[in-house]
Amino acid sequence: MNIHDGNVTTVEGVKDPKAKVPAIRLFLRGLWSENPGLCQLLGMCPLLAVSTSAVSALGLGLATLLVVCLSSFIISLLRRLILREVRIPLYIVLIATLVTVVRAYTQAWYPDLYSSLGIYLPLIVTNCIIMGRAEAVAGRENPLRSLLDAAGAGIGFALVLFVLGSIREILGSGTWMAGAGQTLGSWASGFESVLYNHDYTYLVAVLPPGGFFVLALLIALKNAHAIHQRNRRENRFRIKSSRD
Amino acid sequence: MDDKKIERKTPDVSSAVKEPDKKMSAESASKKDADKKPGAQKDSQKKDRPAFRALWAGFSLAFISVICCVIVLKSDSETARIIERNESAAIVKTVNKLLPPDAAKGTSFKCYLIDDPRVGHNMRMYTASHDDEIKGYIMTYSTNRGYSVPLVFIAGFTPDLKVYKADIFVSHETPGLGDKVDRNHGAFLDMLNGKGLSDAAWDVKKFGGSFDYITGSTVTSRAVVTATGDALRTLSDLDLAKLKSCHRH
Amino acid sequence: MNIIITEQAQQQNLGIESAPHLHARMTTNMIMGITFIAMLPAAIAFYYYTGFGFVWQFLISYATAAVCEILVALLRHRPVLSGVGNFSAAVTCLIMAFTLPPLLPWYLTCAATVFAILLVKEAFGGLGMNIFNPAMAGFIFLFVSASGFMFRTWVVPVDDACAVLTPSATMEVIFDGKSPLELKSLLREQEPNDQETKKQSNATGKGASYTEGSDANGDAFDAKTDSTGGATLNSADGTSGATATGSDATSGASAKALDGRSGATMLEKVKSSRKSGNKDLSEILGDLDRTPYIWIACMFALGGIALMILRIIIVKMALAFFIGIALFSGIGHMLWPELIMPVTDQILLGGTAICGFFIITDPVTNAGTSKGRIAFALLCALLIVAIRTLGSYSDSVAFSVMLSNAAAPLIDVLTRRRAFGHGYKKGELE
Repeated sequence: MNIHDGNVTTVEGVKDPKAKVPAIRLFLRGLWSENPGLCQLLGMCPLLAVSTSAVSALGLGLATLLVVCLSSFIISLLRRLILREVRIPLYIVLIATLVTVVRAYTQAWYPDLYSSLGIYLPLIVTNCIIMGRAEAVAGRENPLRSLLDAAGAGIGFALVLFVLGSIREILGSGTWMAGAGQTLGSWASGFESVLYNHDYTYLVAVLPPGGFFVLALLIALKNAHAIHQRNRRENRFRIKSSRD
Repeated sequence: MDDKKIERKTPDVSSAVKEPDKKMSAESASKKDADKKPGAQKDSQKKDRPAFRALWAGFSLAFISVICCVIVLKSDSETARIIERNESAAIVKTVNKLLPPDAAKGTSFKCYLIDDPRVGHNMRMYTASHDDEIKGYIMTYSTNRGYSVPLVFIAGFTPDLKVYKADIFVSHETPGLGDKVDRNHGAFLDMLNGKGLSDAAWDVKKFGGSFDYITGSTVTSRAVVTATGDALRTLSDLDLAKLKSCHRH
Repeated sequence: MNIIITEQAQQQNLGIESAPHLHARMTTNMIMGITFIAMLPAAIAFYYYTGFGFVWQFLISYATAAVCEILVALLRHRPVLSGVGNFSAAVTCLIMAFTLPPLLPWYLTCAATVFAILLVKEAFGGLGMNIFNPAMAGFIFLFVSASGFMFRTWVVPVDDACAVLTPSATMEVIFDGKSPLELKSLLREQEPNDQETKKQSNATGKGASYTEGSDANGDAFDAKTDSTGGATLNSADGTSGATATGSDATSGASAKALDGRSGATMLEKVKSSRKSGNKDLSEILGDLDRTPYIWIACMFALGGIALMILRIIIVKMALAFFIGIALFSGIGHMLWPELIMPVTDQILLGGTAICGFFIITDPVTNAGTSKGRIAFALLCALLIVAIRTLGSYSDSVAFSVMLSNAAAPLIDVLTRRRAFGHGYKKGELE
């Protein structure tokens, strides 16, 4: 690794860590290429525990999105006043406050969602995505860019949660968005659907092993796509020999 | 010497190279980190007083913590009322399902914690009273004689300690088999209505009791019946004065 | 492994290869083929006692496995036909056919096989690289996901069941989704040669008796069905209906099971009675006609001994396993006779027989060192007895095998062999 000229050799080529990432790229990389759930593998505990049904997964995803955006924004506003030695305790205090406030209002306004999420709502404090965004971006960049980055990561995580929750619910309970009307509000009750008879479901999908299997398959699909892209990029000008 | 230099090369390469002093201890090295902060890089010639940094660190931490505490307390107090209202509404909903109509309306509820080897740890009992006269009890009770643990029931009892209506609270019984005792799949639980301790032998017919059981789910059926019997016995042994009241969660 | 050779060498077919240049004629495929043949006597006995459903399960399983192997061969850019002639898949499918209920709907068998082959075997690296036994993993997958089906479709081993459970009759159940109840009641009526059965049939007509209203869907006990390998044991007795007297307990061979429409296997009944607080095992196991079980276990033993003579199976492992079972259940039965079944029942009922000879001896998933293998077999035996007694599941062979597979690398580390020249005491040579 070459550190003297500031460039770093990574898997995707030589990169300059000091170069300014374009704003739109900050947002998009959290959605796909550096997705917290499928690539960085952060926040796996809530990812696997809450995704037994699409509705609770969506609820937790939205709560995480809210917390990460607000925390990144606030930390970015305060970034010049936070000293390096005490940044971690300060981040934790800020994130914990935000999560406490979110929990209090969720318990008050959406009691069904609160009881279905259980302990995983307060556990957002320990979700490494939020700390990771604060440490990597919010402590250095201006508020708008931090907000974009946090929004990308949060939406990426929420999407993974929702997809995982939907797959597990469809395979394991035969329904989709069951309980949406009660948990999210009556506007969502139109989405509830029973797809097939409960007797023919594969119960293992809503149990912990099933969560691991489905997540592993999603990660495998994403990696297959990335490898395919990379192969195509690297072999674009390759001359095929007679033995291929 | 070289190691020290390399250590201090992260995160900022250029300013660390300017650092000639190799004899520094780790602590002072970190205090010299002030030179490496991006914002302070411009005045790397002027050394920041470590005391100032420490003071500012402490002060900023304290200040932000105090503000955050205030925010937390304020949001908690604002939502406390709504949360309590939600909880009592949930209790009222349960009560309406489980207690006879005259007990359900216009009553005040008190919650007690029950910890008895017969019904389980951390079980709750609500007394529904109207003008200081108890009109009914609602109790959650658990058993480990079901096919899977936990198996928790919730039932409403009339003041003369007879079951009014029982329901399943938490169950992991096998779907399609054990969960036939559920209300969604049949009226098995209605069989318990109106029975008190002395009205029936609290076991299934197969084992000498007086209750039917669902074919194929003997274990679960038996668990339901014996657990309800145990709950009745616990209820009759209860002394309200000695019970602890539930905490607000 | 691909070797780069010149065009000239390729044309002249100079036969350049990498080492080894001499090898024994026994290939992995041949070993698997011989294992497959060794299981055939047991398969025949099984067919005789439980009908054609077992053969259908094997065919469905093998067809699915072949498709999966071909798919994987394509993905790995290997010759496609190697997937079809692959005997290790055949062995896995045969073990699954023994393990799964004979009347299971075809799509469930397919799902279990796809899970076992693609996820448990190929995703870990293919033949020789898997950590867990694919057949056992497939069984557990179905057991957890579709307990109701697993429970309802067992068949009690009965004399001459193959006459009742013909290819076409079972085909209707497996492929067309017909309910298995009629077939099972046909089976039951086939041999009413016991007193109880006659008594009960007299008393109540067609077995509607006991169970208050035998549930028409034949729900059986809360499902945890049994065993893996065994299939040997399924007694379809019934469900709750089985009154706690010895009569129901019969289940066993003759079609008694007038009780019980579904088929709780014998072990299932034992477990339910234990859960209901019934203290006496002999009530349930007393009248059991063990002939079919003995025959099936003997056929497995025959195959196992043949493999031992051919030096494909290690004698020590099977010996350690059965000694372990005898030891643990013997001691257990002496100390707690109402909880732990006697040794003969432990070996005959449930998947113990097939496990001891064919499942734990799989060289891929067991420990590597010699001492380690004995430890592996003992661990498996201990877990089988323990989980059967204390656990929520009726038969525990699949779970024990999976747990032992997970422990195998650790066992290897703990039983490392001493390298020559190391570990001597001071001043000694050995």
